Amino acid sequence: MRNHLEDDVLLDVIEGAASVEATRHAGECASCAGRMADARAGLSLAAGAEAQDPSPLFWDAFRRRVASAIEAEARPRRFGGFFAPALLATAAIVAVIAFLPNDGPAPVAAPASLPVWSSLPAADDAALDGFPGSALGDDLAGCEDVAACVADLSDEESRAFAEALRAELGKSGDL
Amino acid sequence: MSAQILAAPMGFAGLHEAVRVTNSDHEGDREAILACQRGDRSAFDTLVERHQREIYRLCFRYVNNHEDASDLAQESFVKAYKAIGRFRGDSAFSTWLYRIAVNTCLNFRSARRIAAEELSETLADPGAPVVQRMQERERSEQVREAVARLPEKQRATLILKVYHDLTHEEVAGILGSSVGTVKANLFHAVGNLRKMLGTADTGQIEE
Repeated sequence: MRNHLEDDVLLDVIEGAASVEATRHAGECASCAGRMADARAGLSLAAGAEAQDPSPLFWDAFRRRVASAIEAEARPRRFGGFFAPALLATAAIVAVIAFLPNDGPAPVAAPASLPVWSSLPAADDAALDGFPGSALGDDLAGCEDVAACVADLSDEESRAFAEALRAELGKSGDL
Repeated sequence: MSAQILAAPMGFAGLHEAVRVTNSDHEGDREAILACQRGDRSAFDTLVERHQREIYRLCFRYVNNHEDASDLAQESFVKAYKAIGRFRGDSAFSTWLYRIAVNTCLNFRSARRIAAEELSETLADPGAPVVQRMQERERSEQVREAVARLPEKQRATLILKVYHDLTHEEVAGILGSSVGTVKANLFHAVGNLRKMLGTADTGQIEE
């Protein structure tokens, strides 16, 4: 029984890159010659399928699109990406503090090295209730588990919440 | 431009037409790459201009429609830009870019989960030989559709080999496989193409 040529060797024969022995075999063996003719026909079929290029005007527009996409990728995101979870966590902590019952002993003045919000007087705590100017505060006012409520906020609500928080903390010079 | 062929970047025996580069092309790429790596975003535009046609054509052969092809080509360039800091020149820039584009196309196809279903449908209804009845333009469309339905590795191999005229070694480098695998995939691809188009005895599509 003759050893027929492997597929890869047949391709080499088609491309003229096979050994003399393999090329001779392909010429003498009807089976290998048939397989080679099929492969050649398939390659020719594929190569014959023209694909039209888009209009010449397309390429300038395409380059602008790529440049815009790169520009957009490079722009920093507001409240997005890496800082979003940290911001939300901070907001949740501050919200829990803001909604703590206010009937305990008066807060003791904290050392100057602590953050400003940790030594807020009771009056300022009350001012944070419901975050005046934000409908979000009203929603949270009736929430028993504030942390869970904050975690359940939609993206839009989270942004509004964060902005209200920043505004309030900004007043005290903390941000 | 001189027609001098640069030394093959990965020990290839010879570079083919699609990645044959002149000294000035290679220098231009290298200068633009270095400028990008220094943070000059506008230098990337030079690279896009130089390679956009080949990358678009590659994507078009994959998806066979202009809208998806231009989106995929754009995505490939954005990925290339983001990764260009890691490009060390171990392979030609075009080879590296092809690799990104092929992966982008593979991910796109995978996300749509259509390749396998399309093949099954083709097998279920091989149809009569239709090529003879089609005009030249329709035939091209039919072939493009058939190419887009080939199993992924076969499709990638066929596109890079036939339409981008790369050597087996270059295709192997782009697809991360051996030369033997590339040749086997190409052989199966052309066989499957003929089966799908009814120009060969219909039978099982070989993976």
